[in-house]
Amino acid sequence: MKSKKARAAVGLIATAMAATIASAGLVGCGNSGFSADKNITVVAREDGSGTKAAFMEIIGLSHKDSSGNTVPNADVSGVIIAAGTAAVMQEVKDNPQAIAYDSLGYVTDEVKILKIDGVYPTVETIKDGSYAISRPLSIVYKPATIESGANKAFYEFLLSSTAQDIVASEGYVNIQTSVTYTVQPNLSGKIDISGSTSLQPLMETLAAKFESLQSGVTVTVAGGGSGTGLKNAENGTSDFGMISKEKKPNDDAPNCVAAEVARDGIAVIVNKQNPIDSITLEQLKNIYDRDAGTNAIKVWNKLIK
Amino acid sequence: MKEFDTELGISVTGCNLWYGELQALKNIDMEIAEREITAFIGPSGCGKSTFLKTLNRMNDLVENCRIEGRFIIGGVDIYAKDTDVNLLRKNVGMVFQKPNPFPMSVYDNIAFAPRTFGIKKRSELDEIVEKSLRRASIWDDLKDRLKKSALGLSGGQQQRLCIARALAAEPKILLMDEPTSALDPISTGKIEDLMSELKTELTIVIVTHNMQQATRIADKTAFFYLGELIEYAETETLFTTPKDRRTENYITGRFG
Amino acid sequence: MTMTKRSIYSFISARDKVMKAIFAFAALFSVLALITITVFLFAGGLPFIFSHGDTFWGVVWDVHSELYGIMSMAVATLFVTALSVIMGVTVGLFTAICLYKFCPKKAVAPISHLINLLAGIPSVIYGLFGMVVIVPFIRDYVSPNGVGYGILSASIVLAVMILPTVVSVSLDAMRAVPKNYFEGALALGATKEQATFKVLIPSAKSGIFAGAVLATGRALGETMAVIMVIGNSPEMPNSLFQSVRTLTANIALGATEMTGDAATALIACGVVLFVFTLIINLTFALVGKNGKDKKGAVREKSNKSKNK
Repeated sequence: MKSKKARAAVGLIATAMAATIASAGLVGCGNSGFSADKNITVVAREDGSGTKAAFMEIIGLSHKDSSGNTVPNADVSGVIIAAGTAAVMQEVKDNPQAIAYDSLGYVTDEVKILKIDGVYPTVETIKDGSYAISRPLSIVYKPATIESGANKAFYEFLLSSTAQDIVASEGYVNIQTSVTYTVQPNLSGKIDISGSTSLQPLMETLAAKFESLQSGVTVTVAGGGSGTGLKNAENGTSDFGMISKEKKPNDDAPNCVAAEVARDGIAVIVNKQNPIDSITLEQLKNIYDRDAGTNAIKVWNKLIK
Repeated sequence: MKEFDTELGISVTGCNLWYGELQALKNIDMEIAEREITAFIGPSGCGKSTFLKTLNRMNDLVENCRIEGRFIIGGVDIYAKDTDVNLLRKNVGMVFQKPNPFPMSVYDNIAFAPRTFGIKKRSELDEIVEKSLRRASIWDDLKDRLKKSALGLSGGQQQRLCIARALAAEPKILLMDEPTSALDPISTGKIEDLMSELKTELTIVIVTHNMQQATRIADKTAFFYLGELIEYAETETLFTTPKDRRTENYITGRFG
Repeated sequence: MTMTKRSIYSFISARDKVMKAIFAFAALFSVLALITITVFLFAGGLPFIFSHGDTFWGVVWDVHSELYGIMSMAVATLFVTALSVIMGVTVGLFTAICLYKFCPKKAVAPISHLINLLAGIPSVIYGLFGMVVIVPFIRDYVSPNGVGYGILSASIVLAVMILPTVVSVSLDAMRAVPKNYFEGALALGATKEQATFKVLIPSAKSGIFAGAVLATGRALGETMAVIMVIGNSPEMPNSLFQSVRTLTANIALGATEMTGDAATALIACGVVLFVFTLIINLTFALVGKNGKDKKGAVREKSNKSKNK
């Protein structure tokens, strides 16, 4: 009698486990689909992200802090903060209700890129400024760093057409130049770079190219975010810092200067099931603004007729 | 399942028991009379405790234990398919060698069995607790300590508490597995007196290591040796004129 | 001859001294580490807490407006921890009971090995599991507002993470309960379930509680897995399906990026977290002590009765 009960209990647990696994399998295969009547899942990046700072400034959600720097406003209530570009992509790919911003160079065809004020982000629209949300990707360094040796050679390489052709082929907006990089014989040394995760993958590709040209030189590229890039360049931990926002005079690296190596569009992305194709800067602002009040857009049906 | 008939004793025929490959009980037939004290004696490992535990199916808990035979208690075949083991154990109570009060209050210990059978009313429980403690002759010792932890009692008190706890289930038969072996002589004496009082209402089967105890309290005594029932008779007869050589050797202290 | 002997002895005693010094240093090292961490936290954090007292205990955390209020995150931390412990302890306790009494003996060892394996999985894997399985499941099938990230997802992930602790500690606690309690209950006509829930569990409760406290400590301190599933919006929790941020997540999110006051505010968060952990550890120490006392008393008693 009691053993029957025990067996029933074990059976129940087993069934529950099986159900969990089965439902997990279902989730893996597909999801419940887009609904315009449901809330928008607003996805943002963590404070300190260059992508976030640039995006918020461009859509008009920034203010000056006490030291005069332009900083993003607080995130809208209920925001999902994804730590890193990969997490952003994961969420938008999976969640039919999501909207997010991410570096154009990162965006794959697993998500849908929206037109901003009718303009689709391409190299041309970013270059001519008709696409509204773009930002510089720069290296920061102390002027003395690039006076000689491997660092000088790497700096010259980044601004040469040899590097800029790679920038363009990787989907970023390049700088027009006709100067090719000249390989220097017997050059050796180590170059240490860290900072913005938005610039990191491009920089890794460029570094690999440089190492193949200058076999005596080793380049290490690490992430950490724009803030880390500035700090490391200032205190000498890294030879170059990477930032994905405008260099400000009062930031964490007052003794450093910046050089733009590429421009990146920030894409506004939604799930592929979402029927929306285009959005305005004003609408974006009302989605991301904590203090939008009655203008706030919380549900997709405000944007989709 | 049939109701237990309190006017009938215990009847076992053809009992064989194995622990895995090892046969611990061999072909035991035994009739135990109601409202008497029956003592099981014999050297360690002779099977007397094992046999006792077949009577309330506590051997069911032992893995690889296989039992054969017919066990009729109070007119009920206790190994029949439709037997409710819990009801059987309610009717055939057991007191263990080592006092095992639960780590809770005296009151909760006694009320444990009635509660498992669904009695919830406070007044009813109060009554059962008092009655059980009185029947176990320990009410006067414990009436002011009902809310205290049972673990704080002395060994002798703990064992009488365990008897009271068993009585609270209103059993017809009480199995006692060397109930005094862990106790001092005074506590042992109290428990023996208690058994003599209880036998007016209950059938008591006691396993004991102590032959004096058997002569003091038991109406009948059974001698077990190497898993067999060697001799079973009136206590006086068994101790004065044993029929079997092995019984004689054991009671005269030549082994065991 | 005597010379050699003496030199051997002096060599041995010298080696003894060296070993003693090494042991002492090792012991000192861990004590020093604790002191250093404590000093770093309190020296860094306390002045900030006092100078920013008004906003620090507030609910608004907005680095860019220089508002460093931790209250919403402290509440979220406690909320998520409590929920995960409730879920984890319930499931863990039932698992332990199943392993102890109800499941076939042959299955016990493999199942407990599997559960212990859970303890060895890096927390980032739990986070990934949460992101890919739990969050979408909650979002698509459970959440009323289509949000998967948040309190419930984080609590479920944490509950799974603390399972091994709960199962192994409560299983040990139940195994430490004298077998004759359980047998005694059965002999009184109780069913296996009654014996388990009315005798076994109450007898093991101090051990089980200790397991719950240990689990609470783990849930409270977990960071990586939480960041990946909780949504991280620094808001006061008012729904299970809401993006909130725990103190650990706040520190981890900001640690590499923040400077100045914001960085100091993170250290102050660390102080608060440290105090939470301290409370948990003290509770654990107290519970452990009580449990031991009780058991010691029981053992002594039974020895006494045997000796008589």
